[in-house]
Amino acid sequence: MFHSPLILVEAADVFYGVSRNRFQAVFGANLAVMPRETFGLVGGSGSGKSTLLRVLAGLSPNWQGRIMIGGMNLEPGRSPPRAFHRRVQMVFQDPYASLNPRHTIDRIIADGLKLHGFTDLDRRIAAVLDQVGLGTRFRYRFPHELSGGQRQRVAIARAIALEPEVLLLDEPTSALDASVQAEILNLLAVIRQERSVTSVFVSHDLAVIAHVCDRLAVMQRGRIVEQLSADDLIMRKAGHPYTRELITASGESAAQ
Amino acid sequence: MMQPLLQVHGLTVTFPTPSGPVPVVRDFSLTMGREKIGVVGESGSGKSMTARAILGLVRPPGQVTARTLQLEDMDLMGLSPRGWQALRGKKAGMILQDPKFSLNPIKRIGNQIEETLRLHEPIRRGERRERALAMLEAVGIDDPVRVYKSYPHELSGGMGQRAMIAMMLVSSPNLLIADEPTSALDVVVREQVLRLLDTLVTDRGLGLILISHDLPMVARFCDRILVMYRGRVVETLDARYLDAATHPYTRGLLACLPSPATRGHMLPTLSRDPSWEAA
Ligand SMILES: Nc1ncnc2c1ncn2[C@@H]1O[C@H](COP(=O)(O)OP(=O)(O)OP(=O)(O)O)[C@@H](O)[C@H]1O
Ligand SMILES: Nc1ncnc2c1ncn2[C@@H]1O[C@H](COP(=O)(O)OP(=O)(O)OP(=O)(O)O)[C@@H](O)[C@H]1O
Ligand SMILES: [Mg+2]
Ligand SMILES: [Mg+2]
Repeated sequence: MFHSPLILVEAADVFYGVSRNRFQAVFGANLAVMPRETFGLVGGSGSGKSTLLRVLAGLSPNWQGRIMIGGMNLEPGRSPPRAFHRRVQMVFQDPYASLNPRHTIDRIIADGLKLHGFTDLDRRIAAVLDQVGLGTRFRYRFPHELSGGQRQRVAIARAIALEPEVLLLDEPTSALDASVQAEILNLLAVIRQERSVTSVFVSHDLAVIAHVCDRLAVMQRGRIVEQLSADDLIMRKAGHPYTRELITASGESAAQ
Repeated sequence: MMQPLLQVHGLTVTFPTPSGPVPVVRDFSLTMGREKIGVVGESGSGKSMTARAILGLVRPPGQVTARTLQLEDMDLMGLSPRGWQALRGKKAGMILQDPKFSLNPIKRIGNQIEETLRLHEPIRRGERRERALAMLEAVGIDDPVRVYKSYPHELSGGMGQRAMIAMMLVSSPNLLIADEPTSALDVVVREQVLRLLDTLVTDRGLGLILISHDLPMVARFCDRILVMYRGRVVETLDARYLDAATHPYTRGLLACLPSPATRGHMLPTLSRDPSWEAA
């Protein structure tokens, strides 16, 4: 039996600014992510990965084309309803900018839970902080009182606390050392086993992508230049020269 | 013997808590010349705080103490706020871990690079612009003219990192501390930026402290590696002999890395032991 995609993107163009100052960041993107799939997004710095993710999260109105997530069509220029944000959560690349500097970690996570009608906040907050390896010690600190990787884990905790169906992860482990990264990747794997979660995972680390993803797309200067399976990535069966360049460059740095 | 570039002995950073001051950096020592030192360590182990302390950037209520903190012939202990500022503009620079957050949000990237340049060299405006654009290109920006005119929030994560690197490079410090400078870069651009840093170390005789969670990358690029765990340096390694690592944290790090072989499996994790905290 064929399933229909849970995330469908057709001919999506994404812009910043208007008229003369308009800059096009994504050109004609097409993607189809199946339910429960983990889909990787890799590519050049500045190629439009975060831009595409923000559109999928319903946070960026300046686009055209067709985007459907979980049976709901997104409309350009319009914010999706609140319920959408409960179902679709994003972990931002830049945790500093996405965490309110005047709120404690406790409040940052509690606010999302309250907004979406969760009860039993105290237990949930403690549990989710524990899951990302931040004990109660950190609960009443402010974002600036944490290290870079600790802030990144707060952003992950805030997103998974809402038990979303879709997780959009923008470089979620880029500030973590390998030992904590392993714990977070294992946590995401457990969540996928326990619930039906579909994810898009942005990373520049091809080893991480090969470990977690089923398929991936490669972006270069605003365009998706290739889509391939993780098996093809591992076997180095890439069609596009840019994908091959990325694989070669990662191989060189991994080889030593 | 030549004077070391940087000498640090017994550097400690503490934060007050209701149950007394808690150290986040404990007894850090390093003597370095014009070489490349890598610092790796667990998330939260004190890498950024050590770097900030060396450059006088720890904000209150954090407390910094040290037996020695000396850059070339200058004693940094007891430097006035103005003294620190002068030092950071000229002799020492830092690429902060959250670059977009540390750039001035209301100034265009080009102007920020030019301002730094102007502090260092008396050159004409037109030439400053040329130099700023050339720097952006050197860090792998494809469209330097657009980025020159952009504000920090209009850049991608990796472009922000590179703008910050470009700014540090025009100021030509003697000591550069780079805190995760390549964590948002794709592998191709990352190699380009590392080569650029390498050239600077060789050509300008700069000393570089590179903080990163990427142990294989640091091992490839640096001369010596310090491994931090819960506030302490638990191991110092010659970068060529990573295999000689004996501390269980360092050894564990290499075992936790994902690879094609780990696909579909849980990754090994560390069972951290309290005895690891002893240096
Ligand atoms: N608010 C904005 N205004 C104008 N241009 C923007 C804005 N945000 C991003 N851009 C531009 O859009 C392009 C894509 O940026 P994006 O952040 O999506 O890249 P990315 O693939 O996530 O890169 P990185 O790997 O470096 O994070 C870049 O050229 C960037 O300068
Ligand atoms: N203002 C503060 N008050 C109390 N503790 C703090 C404060 N700022 C940082 N810390 C703590 O100091 C420790 C060291 O932080 P630091 O930023 O140096 O870590 P790091 O090694 O750079 O970690 P990462 O790799 O995650 O960036 C962390 O455990 C952090 O929670
Ligand atoms: Mg990005
Ligand atoms: Mg840090």
